[in-house]
Amino acid sequence: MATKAARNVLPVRHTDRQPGARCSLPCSNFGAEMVRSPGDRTVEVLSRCLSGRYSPHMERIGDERAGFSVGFDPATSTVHVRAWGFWGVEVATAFDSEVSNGCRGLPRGSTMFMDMSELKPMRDEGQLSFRRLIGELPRLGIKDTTIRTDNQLTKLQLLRLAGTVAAGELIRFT
Amino acid sequence: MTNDEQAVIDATARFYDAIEKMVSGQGLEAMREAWHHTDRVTGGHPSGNWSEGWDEVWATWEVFASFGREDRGGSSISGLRAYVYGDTAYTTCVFQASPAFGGDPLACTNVLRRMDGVWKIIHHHADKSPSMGAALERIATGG
Repeated sequence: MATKAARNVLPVRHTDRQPGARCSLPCSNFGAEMVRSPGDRTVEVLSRCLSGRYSPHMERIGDERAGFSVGFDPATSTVHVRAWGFWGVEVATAFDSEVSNGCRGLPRGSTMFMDMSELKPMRDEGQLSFRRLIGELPRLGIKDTTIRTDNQLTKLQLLRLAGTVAAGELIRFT
Repeated sequence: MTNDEQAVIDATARFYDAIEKMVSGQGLEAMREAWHHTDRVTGGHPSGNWSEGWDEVWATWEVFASFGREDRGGSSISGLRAYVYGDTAYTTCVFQASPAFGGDPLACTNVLRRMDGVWKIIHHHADKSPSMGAALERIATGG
């Protein structure tokens, strides 16, 4: 959904990056607008009109070639993470902290869906960051995680990393 | 066989020696030596998608190397042929994956470039091998 929305830049502007925060702006459409911020990071604010409510805000780190986004859907208590491209050091080292921040204050028993289908195999920094995040998931209130991968090498890398932490047992691959 | 053809054959053989070292747990130094390290190298493995540029290519070899172990060697090649066009050449062969890596015979093409008088790999492509992916998934999940 984030991808679809990102392709349709609509007049929704928001600066509140708290997951699940209610948008205060009037909105009759759904869409996203990218706001370039210092340090070559892009914050993607996603708003969606759904029965009078507004959906979560997706934060995006990186650019079109390589990055990730994270957001929380309160309707399903699911944290959505999407990752793509070949991560440089800056994106890789931001991954665990930014996703952890995106999970702050979640209701216990939330779930996480990671769409890693466009992520290429990671260098050391990315592997370390992914491993740290997986180890933190129970503390963050995530009861189970589903990871989607299309690149088999990426899947092999993530499978191996998940197998090195106890919380890896809470992860399913599709 | 010309001297250039022999040099290309030797460089390709070093690349496949590097694969055998990698799968048998001897690390990636030989693999690093077999490649030119530029943004204009590419790779396509039996598993996964294309990788572009040395950093991406290297990351893919690191994934395979993470499955390397002393008792997982046993790969080989046959029918290695070289075709030289100036400072660029390509080779073809059949790579026999080691049993631990699925054991499939895979048709392979490698492109080599002579830079500073040294032939090294700039492109590698192997057939897709679902059995290799399945074998490595079993290892990754402890099965």
